[in-house]
Amino acid sequence: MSNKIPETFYGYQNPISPSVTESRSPGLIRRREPPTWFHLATEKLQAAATLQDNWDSYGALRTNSLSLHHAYLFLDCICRTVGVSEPLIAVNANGNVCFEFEQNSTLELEVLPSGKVVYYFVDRNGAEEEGEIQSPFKDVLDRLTKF
Amino acid sequence: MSEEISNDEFIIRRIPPSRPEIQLDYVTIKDGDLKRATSMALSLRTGENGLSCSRLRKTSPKQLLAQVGVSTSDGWTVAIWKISELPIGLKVKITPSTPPDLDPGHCEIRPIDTYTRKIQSNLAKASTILSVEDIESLKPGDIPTWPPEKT
Repeated sequence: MSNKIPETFYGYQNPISPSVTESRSPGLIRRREPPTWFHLATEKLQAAATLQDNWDSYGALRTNSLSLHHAYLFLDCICRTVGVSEPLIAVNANGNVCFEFEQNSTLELEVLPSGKVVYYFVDRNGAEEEGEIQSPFKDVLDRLTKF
Repeated sequence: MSEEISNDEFIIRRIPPSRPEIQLDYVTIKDGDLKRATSMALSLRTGENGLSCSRLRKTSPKQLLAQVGVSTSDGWTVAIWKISELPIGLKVKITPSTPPDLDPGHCEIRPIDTYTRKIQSNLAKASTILSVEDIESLKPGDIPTWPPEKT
């Protein structure tokens, strides 16, 4: 499994790619305003927090609070640093929050309670990659808070 | 001798409410006005062998929802697959429910090897969400319009 995010991670832009942040003026990080879907996405995470055990009727676990915590951080990070389209958001059977981005390519993310994010990516040509990232938004947050 | 399951059969699974009821995305657009389940609705719990489903030959979509006391008016819906069109790497095994008459068509979609994210994603993309009319009208043994018609 790879632990490095591919350049074409989102098909159209990789939010954690150095090119996203380094292309900005030296010493000046401009945080983007949250996109219009940000509020709806936070409402989805609030809804996720209310799920109880067996929410799918097949024995799924309630939402893991640590996964939810990291999902909020991840959402905030990608909203403010990258122009991505609205993700699908839901909780899987293990109670972990998941994001799914789909345009010409597909990116599925599962936020683990540890803060790791497991991803499955298929680009527009059908090339696939599965991997696991430790603290995926740490690099971005570090860059933002140093200024 | 155990009962065999035909590749021409259809299997169905309950899908919990999506927007606007609780705002989570367990259903998304497939093609035209057709919808499909998302991967998040088709994940396995750690240690689970397969994804619980039911054979349309023995369990109707309406019965499937009624087993757990829900209906389409609660926002629940039903995903369907034709067994012959399941993604590579999956098989269907008949697994009687407890008690058996709880769900006479109970079965599981199981990985031949490992239930990878790729397989899960492909399974989601291969699914189709039944219309409310089909959920209400399909009876055990009925054959749905296949492939599903888009407008």
